[in-house]
Amino acid sequence: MKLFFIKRLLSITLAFLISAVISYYFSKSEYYWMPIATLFVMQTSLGAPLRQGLLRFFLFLFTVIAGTGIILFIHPASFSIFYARGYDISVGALIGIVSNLIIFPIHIDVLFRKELVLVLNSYANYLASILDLLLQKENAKEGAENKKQCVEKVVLQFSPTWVYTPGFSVDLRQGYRHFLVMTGRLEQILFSLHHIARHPFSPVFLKDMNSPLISYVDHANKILQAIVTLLNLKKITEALDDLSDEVRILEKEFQTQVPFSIELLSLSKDYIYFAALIADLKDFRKTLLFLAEALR
Amino acid sequence: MSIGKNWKNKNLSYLEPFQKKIFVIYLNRDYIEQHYVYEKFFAETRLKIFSKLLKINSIPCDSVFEIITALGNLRYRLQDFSILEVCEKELKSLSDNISVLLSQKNISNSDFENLLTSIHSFESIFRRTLQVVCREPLDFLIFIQNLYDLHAELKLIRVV
Repeated sequence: MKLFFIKRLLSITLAFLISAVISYYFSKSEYYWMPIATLFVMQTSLGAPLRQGLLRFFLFLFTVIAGTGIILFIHPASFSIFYARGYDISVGALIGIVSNLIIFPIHIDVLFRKELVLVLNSYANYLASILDLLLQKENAKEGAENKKQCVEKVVLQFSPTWVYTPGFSVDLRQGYRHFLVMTGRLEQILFSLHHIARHPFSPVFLKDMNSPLISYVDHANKILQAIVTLLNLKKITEALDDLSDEVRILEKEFQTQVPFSIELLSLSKDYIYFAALIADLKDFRKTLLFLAEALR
Repeated sequence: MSIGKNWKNKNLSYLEPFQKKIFVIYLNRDYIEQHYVYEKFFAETRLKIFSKLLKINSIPCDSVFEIITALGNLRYRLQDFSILEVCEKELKSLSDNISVLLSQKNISNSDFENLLTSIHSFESIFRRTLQVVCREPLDFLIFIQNLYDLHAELKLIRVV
């Protein structure tokens, strides 16, 4: 995002200078209308330079024409001022919109993929640390807290929430937003898993769950890495299955250890947390598959 | 009940809009049609919450956030939101009582009692109706457990 701001700053400065020079030689009214119009139409959000630029141009033009009309009504003068100001604003807006599109353009697809790679990598690390906490490994509590903070920092800095901006490219909007919603869903499941992992499960439970859980997390992280590879526009070399075997083993384990009746689940907190763990892991798998499917 | 010296670490009002919106989904039952609108709100709100949590750096506050997030995950599992119509009153009461504990500076024991009563009445309607009619009662059981966890965690933070 830092690069984005630098690029924007440079593009706005350059466009302003171009507009000021053109205004100096070709302006038909006051010299400032053209650069102001350029600056005004360039204040667009990421992914919507053309649509928002045009909207801002019409808004600016309408406001100036209406304001000029009121002034002319109070102090009558030549009507050619409408044409002169309209011309200056149109040229200024044209410079602004074209500059937004061609001077240091932001490739939103590249930016979107770059930012998501960082976010997904932080999720993979967080998932591994949650597993350690779940299996009650030494220093796992601190580890999970640190990884959680890493996720928060990365999301805060890199999450491409700009895809929600009004006016964002109509062609890309649906796909990008869907992908971001699914990524957010992964994050929320991870937080829920962290909450479950804080529960001190009885060692009897963990003994049999150890191996299927490790296998699940290992496999889930491989899928996450595969998604990252695809986002980096590289080819996946390893064939991956859809985690269904791991989920089936976990469910089987759940049915072996936990009473079948829902009333009896309330007998022990371990039972309910175990059920919650399985539900979250199933959701996580489903969401990972949604993400992979979206990239196909 | 004293609110303690360090109000900054006990102030959880930044989580209030987040929990409120989660319950709005369950109350309005329009998540399937409006899910982009809701998810946009959550995406933006989460950023504000993260920035706050990183500043505070307190595990109990993190834990409250995680539990509220877990409460919201029911929306991914429910296929038929209309089922929530039977417990609309209980959900409203839960949301209101959680709001009080998250956002008000001066709270009393009765506020915790109110939340507990709301959880009990939701649990009761689950045992009587939801458990029988819904396709996946386990999800509601997990939801109720999360509500109890939230109550316990809030008590831990807000009571000196």
